[in-house]
Order: sequence, then structure tokens, then C-alpha cells
Amino acid sequence: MAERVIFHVDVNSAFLSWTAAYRVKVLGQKEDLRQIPSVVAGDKAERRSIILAKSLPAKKYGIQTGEPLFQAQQKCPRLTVVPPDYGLYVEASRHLMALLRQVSPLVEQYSIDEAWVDMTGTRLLYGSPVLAAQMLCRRIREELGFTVNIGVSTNKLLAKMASDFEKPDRVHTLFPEEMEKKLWPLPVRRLFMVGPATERKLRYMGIHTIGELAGADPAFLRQKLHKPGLLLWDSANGRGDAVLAEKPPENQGYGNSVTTATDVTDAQTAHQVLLSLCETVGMRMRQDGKAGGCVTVFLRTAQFENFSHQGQLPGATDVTSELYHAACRIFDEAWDGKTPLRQLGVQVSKLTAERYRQFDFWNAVSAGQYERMAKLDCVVDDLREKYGERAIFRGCFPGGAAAMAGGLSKERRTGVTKPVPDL
Amino acid sequence: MDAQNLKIDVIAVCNADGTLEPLRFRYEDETHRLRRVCVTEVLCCKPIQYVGIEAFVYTCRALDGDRERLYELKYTVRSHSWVLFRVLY
Repeated sequence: MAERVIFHVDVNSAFLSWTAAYRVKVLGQKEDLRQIPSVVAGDKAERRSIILAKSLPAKKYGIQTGEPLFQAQQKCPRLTVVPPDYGLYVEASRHLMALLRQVSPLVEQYSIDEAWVDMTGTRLLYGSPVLAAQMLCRRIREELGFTVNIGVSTNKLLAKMASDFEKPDRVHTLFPEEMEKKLWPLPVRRLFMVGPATERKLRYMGIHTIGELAGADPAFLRQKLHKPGLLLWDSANGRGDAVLAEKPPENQGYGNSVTTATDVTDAQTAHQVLLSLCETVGMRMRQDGKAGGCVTVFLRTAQFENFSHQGQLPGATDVTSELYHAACRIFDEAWDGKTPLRQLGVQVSKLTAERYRQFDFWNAVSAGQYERMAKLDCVVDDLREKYGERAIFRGCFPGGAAAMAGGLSKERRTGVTKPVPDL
Repeated sequence: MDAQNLKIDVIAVCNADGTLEPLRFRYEDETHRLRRVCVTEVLCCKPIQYVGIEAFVYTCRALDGDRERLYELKYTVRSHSWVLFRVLY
């Protein structure tokens, strides 16, 4: 059997590239955002505006994705800021995936701008893997007008690591025999799935590079980091999945958070924010036919300290009111009543797709009440789907401006957070 | 030549083979006068899909009054709209 060949295709600064390509190729503008310090960020007037994507010249100023806009503007006062256009991004992503499916039938979309392509057995069609990757890179550049990095290897993990090497518009290989030279000297933070917290733990153990992690004793890693430690050790040694998943994995939880316009200092306002978050979370759960048995409330103070608190529900639910009452109870337990809050979040986990429900004597909500609330939620969802999200909202939200917080606009929900349907 | 990207009204023919061909178009110039242009020949038609936006670019020879000029017109499939992308000469 032919040796496995997996490509990882990653759009360079996706949101910025797509906006820049639209301006240059479709509108015919001369200024290319990719050549100047520029970022894609939300509404400039809002304090929650964060950097969604940055150009390579902006990166040279130390600007990072996810940092607040005002901080980025302090680093580079001449920064060009452009708003996001999610409709455009979804279209660009759809066409990218369609082009990849022309090259190989086995494509696993990982996010809006990343995908793995199984190119096993295509040598007679397209030539060697590197030539095929260069052909694909060129086709995407010429036909779609933006650039990608392609990582070539024998499994998903190594291909993903390879595509993260030098950018933009490059093809990199990382076959198992090249790991020692190309992968192991890199800092451990560059390894897929190693975040800041894991990096800190590894540094305490004296592990600074991927090579040191690969050479570490797996029993020691398991003792210190439990099961994920072994997974990291496998990753550092280049062992990863070689088979592409046809369907994306199911959600483990549903959560939304919102940074409020002004700091929250009273429980009533906080409860209102929680209600608006539960509206969004509940709607998403009902769309996917899921109910959850555990609610977590996340809080971020004005001093950027984070804390969270969670509680179990008597039974799994997807009813907005029940989620809200649970979230309020958990919030009241967690909050001291005076610390100003900047961000609130609600997450529901312990999901089930079962439709039955066990009622108990002590539960405040009777079977009839529960059914009525569930029906009401379905009607509200349908109205919002048909007539827009502000078609109906609770009376406690004057004007309905913040009736549904933390959620995404309709076009983002169907494209940015979930793989879009094929063309 | 700078891109103009002017929205235009177009009279076009939908051929039996499914192709689309502009015959005449009009646009408002900088002095707010409506100019009518008659396409004499479509030199080439190229499908494009930059950033996933499907469109057709027509390079046309056309008569603007007495003067013959070369135009690039663009038809966007999704919005069914035409723009005068640029005047080549």
C-alpha cells in the first residue's frame, strides 16, 4: 500500500487575507492590507474590540491575535483597522473547501480556514507530494486570490506542525525522518495542543524544547500531567492520527460570554446579563437537540482576574428559564456582591441527546410547567429564525438591544463556528 | 489604469447556450450626466471566483458617442449586478 500523505492547508492570516483579497481583486483597490500594518477588529468604539487577524507587518510590531484593539494601537499608532465581514469569510471558506475536494475526495475541515487533505495514492495524478502541494498553493493563489501554507507529512499532527513553519505562501514537509532537524529544536509551546499553562508546567520540569519532551520518560509525564502527558509525548514523537474524520466531533459543551459595555456592580444587572447569555446558549442547544446537566458561570473582574463556579442540575435541560435560574444560583454563590465584573459567561456541559426527563418531588418545575416552557422556547426560536433575532424578546430588556448576548450573528453561526455545507 | 467599480445598468442577451453577453450599458459620469455606451464586440469573457465571489469579467470594445474605447465589465453571479470595472483606453 502506498505511504500515507496528508496535507494541512492553512490560510495565512485568514480574515485579513480574505478582506485584503476582496479589496484588491474584487474592488480593484491598489492598497493591499497584507503589505501594511493592518488588523481586522470589531467595532472600534467598543471596549471589547479585539484583534481577530493581523498582517505580517503588524506582527512585527508585536501585535497578537486576541489582544484588545487599544493595546495594538498603542504598539503601532499608524495601524489600519478594518471591520470583519463574516459573510465574505464564509463564502471564501466554502470555495476553498470545494477546491480542495476537487483535488482529493477525503477532506477534513478543521476550522473556517484550515483543513486536512488525504493525498495518499495521488502520485501518478499530481506527481510527488511537494509538487502536488505547490500546485495546490498556486491554484488557490490564482483562482481564489489569497495565499495558504501547506504542511506535508504522513499524519495529521506532523502536517499541521509543518504548515506552521515560515509564512506566507509556502510548502513545508515534515516527514518522520525530518523531525529531529525541523521539529525537535522548536520551543515546546509550538507543539500542537500545548498552551501557556502546559508550557509553564513543562518548563518547571526542565522541558523547554519539543525534542526534550520527546526524549522525556513517559511514566514521569503521566505522573505529572496524567493522561494528556502521554498524548503530548506521542505528539512530540510525531505520532498522530493518520485517518481523516469524515464528520466533525460533537460539541462537549455550549457556552457564550460577553464583555459588558460598563462594569457590572449589582446582582440585578448581572442576572440580566446571565439571562441574555442563557437565551443564546439555550437556543444553540435546542438547535442541536442537546440538553445539559451541568452549568458553569465564568466571571472576569475589572482587574482581569478570572474565576468560575459550577453546579449540577437535577436533570438535563435545554429550557432557557431553567438554565437561567441555575446560572443565577451559581452566580450568587460565586460572587461577593461588590467586585466590579467586566465579563460574564455561561457554559452548559454533561450533554445528552435523550428526550426523556425524570421529574422529582422536590423540583420546583412540574411536568406541565416544563412542557409549556419547552414549547414556548421552540416558538420563540422559530420566530427568531424566521423574522430575525430581535423579532421577539423579554420585557426586561428595554428595546431588546441586549436580549441575546454573547452569541454570533446568523451568518457566523452557520459558517465560522461550524463547517459550512458543501457547494 | 485605476479600477472604477461603477455600478451600471446593462442590456444583455442571455444566449441559448447559457452564456451572457452585454449589448449596451449606461452610467453616471463625474458631471452627473448619464452616458450610454454601445458594445460593439466582446473580446473575451473570463470566469473568476476571487475570495469565493463568482463573477465574469468581460473585455469589450464599445462606442461611447463617437469614440471607441475598451472597457472591462464585471457581472457578479450572486447579486446579478454589473459594474464598469475599468476603462482600458
